[in-house]
Amino acid sequence: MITFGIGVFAFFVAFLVVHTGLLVAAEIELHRYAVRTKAIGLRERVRSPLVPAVSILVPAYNEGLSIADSVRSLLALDYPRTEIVVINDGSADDTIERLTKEFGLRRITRPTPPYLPHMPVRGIYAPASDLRLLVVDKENGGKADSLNAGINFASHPLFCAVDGDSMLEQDALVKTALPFVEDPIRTVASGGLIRIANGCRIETGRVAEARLPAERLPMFQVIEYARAFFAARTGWSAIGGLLIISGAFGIFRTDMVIAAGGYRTGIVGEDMELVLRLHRVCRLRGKPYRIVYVPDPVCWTEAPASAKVLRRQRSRWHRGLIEALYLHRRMMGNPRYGVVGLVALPSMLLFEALGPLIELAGYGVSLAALVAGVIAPLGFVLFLAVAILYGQFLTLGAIALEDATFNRYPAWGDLRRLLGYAFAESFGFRQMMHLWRLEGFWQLIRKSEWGAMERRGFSGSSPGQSGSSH
Amino acid sequence: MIGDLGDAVLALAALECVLLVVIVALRVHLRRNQRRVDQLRPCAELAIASYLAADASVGPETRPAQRAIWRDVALEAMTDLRGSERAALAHLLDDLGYVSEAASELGSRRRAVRRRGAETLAAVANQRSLQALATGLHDRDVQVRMTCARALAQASGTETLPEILAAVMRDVDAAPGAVADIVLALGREHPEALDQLLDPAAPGAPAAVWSIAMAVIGELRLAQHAPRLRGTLGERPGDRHLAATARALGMIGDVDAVPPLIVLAEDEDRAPVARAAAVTALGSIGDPSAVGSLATLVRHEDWDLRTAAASALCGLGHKGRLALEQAAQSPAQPVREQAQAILQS
Repeated sequence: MITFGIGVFAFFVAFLVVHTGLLVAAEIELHRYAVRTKAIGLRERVRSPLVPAVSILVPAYNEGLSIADSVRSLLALDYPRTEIVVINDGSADDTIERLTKEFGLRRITRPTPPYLPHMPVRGIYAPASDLRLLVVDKENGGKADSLNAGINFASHPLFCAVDGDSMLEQDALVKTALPFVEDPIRTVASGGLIRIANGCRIETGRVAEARLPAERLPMFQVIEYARAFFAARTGWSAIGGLLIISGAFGIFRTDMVIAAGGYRTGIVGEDMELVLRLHRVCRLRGKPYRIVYVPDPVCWTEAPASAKVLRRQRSRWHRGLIEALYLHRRMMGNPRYGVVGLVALPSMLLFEALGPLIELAGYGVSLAALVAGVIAPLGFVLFLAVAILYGQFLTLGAIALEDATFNRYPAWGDLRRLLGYAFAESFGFRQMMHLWRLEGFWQLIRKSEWGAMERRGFSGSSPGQSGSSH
Repeated sequence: MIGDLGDAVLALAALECVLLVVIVALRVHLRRNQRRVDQLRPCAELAIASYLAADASVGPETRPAQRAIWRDVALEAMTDLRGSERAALAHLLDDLGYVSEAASELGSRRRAVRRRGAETLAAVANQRSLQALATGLHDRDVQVRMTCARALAQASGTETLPEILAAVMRDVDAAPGAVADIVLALGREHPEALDQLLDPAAPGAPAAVWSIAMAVIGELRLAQHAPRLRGTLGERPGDRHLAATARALGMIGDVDAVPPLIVLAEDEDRAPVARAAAVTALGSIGDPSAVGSLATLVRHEDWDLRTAAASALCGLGHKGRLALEQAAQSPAQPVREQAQAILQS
């Protein structure tokens, strides 16, 4: 029992040190970002003919209802040179027909480039006009497979992976591509901020007014995303330990991703796995590189509003996380990989992958000890209070960072709701999330399915590296 | 133990309370700022628009908050203005004392203030601000140095070129993107200055500067550098250097570069990246003497080389099209498909 107590205490102290450090690093980075973007004259910078062109890859599976709106909104993004590559992943609906009708597509002949393997291509379509759009119709193989096909057909030095159901703000691409403009030699990948669209006023495929969700579950997820993006991810990026760029929105150097072997198919967390592999490949090359998170660009995504969907999502995300960590286990604790190997990966393993198990086990053992009379009731309550208060402190820190920088929910009523949910999150929601994540862990152990995946549709990407467990 | 835990609970609760107060105070402060901006900004916008439209006189603003908003609005407007309107607004900013203010900001101890000063001076870019910008080339902050260097490259004469080039060489590692902007500005205003950046063997010349200069020469199609570039092809540098040189020559459309480009395209000892760049350049130049070589390369086993050759043939007129049609009859499926795809497009 004493050993267990020491273990839990050590876990808590490590958590406290890492996450407080991240919060401080995030504060410094956000301040630096605000000063930098104010001075650089964003609009003038992107007018430069040296700004790299971007291929926007949109994997689509049964998205006939929304795909035309998504493509139209992507075509209207502020960026000097783009092309849109839609990859229809063997949809059973009318995705291709809708695209053909909306954009006047015609079937063209184009041999499939051999850079990355993927399922066979059934046809290539392009508009008769000079619209920068290409549609690749391929057999079903999953999101990673579709992205690999998209990379093969991308003709620009950078590609941006976007979920078909995500909505990008007008200048999101410009801001996310800025690290490539500022440091074209070292920047390998760049991710942007993702927010929850539930409750927002949406007009023609764009968020016209940012509002908080009315429903409880999406509201709790707003809190999680704030912690994940404003505190954790910004902090990790500041110290060079960013491990995740969301599959919903990220820009990558095409040649580097091809050199790294593209997206890995047959796993759930292909977005995190790719970033880990890029770290590995770049470190082994021995040249300086940057994988960064830009805290400002906004990609809006719909969060699950029902417990059933949220449960499935969280258990899948957790499986993806463990798969990615397992596949790159040799990087863990390896000084060759610097901050990534020595700090970011062990933190990810301890606080994200094992965190739910440790925390729930902590509740169980403490309760058992309390019942057995090994610990005093007051001690038990105080320990719980410390854990809960520290979690809330981190959340409030993330809300403060959001408020001080972008302040997308400026009404006092919004602040009241954010704070209310930040406090309420610790009493039930967090424990429920842990249980569902453990379920993913359990599914993985039971099925031992490193690779076999029955999924054939896409769904939102993990906020990941999130501090979603406290 | 329980006492320690109790202390920790109290400390955390106190921290949370402090954080809550900070969040509320921050909101109050931000809202007050926003209200002030909402009040003052339309006046500044109207004053500037009236001045530009009718040359109406604009009185100097005295309150610091109002001056700051006025400056923000003017700098935003300058991003979109060109020609006489831009010059008029720059003149107005100088008259109202913003140039002197920005010049003194360059001496501030705060980095953010110096950056702001440099941005203002760079936007105005008149004779007085150029003098101040020249001092900014020695600032300890790389962003201030780069802002000053870019503005000087755009607006000053040749007298500051040595200092600008020195800043480019020194800071390319810390700020390659900003250096690219400066080299672009030099390419537009002082294209002859790029010559000094083209010698990768020159002492203190980083390879990154050479690559940036090469990209700018291609992008701006600076034909006066073509002889130097052709010479580089003959010097047989590394594959990446060769590829960048070939791309630049292709964008310039230098017909005299066709023979060395054909040699490079056919050189089996070179990496596909360099050979494909040479092939693409041959297509961009459009000289039919390259058809024979490209007709062979369109059957090459390397995908990139084959694709580049097929696309290049497309730009070589009737002879090129004939060669593509022959390739489209090839027994080799990949060759046939690629040629057919290009012909169809």
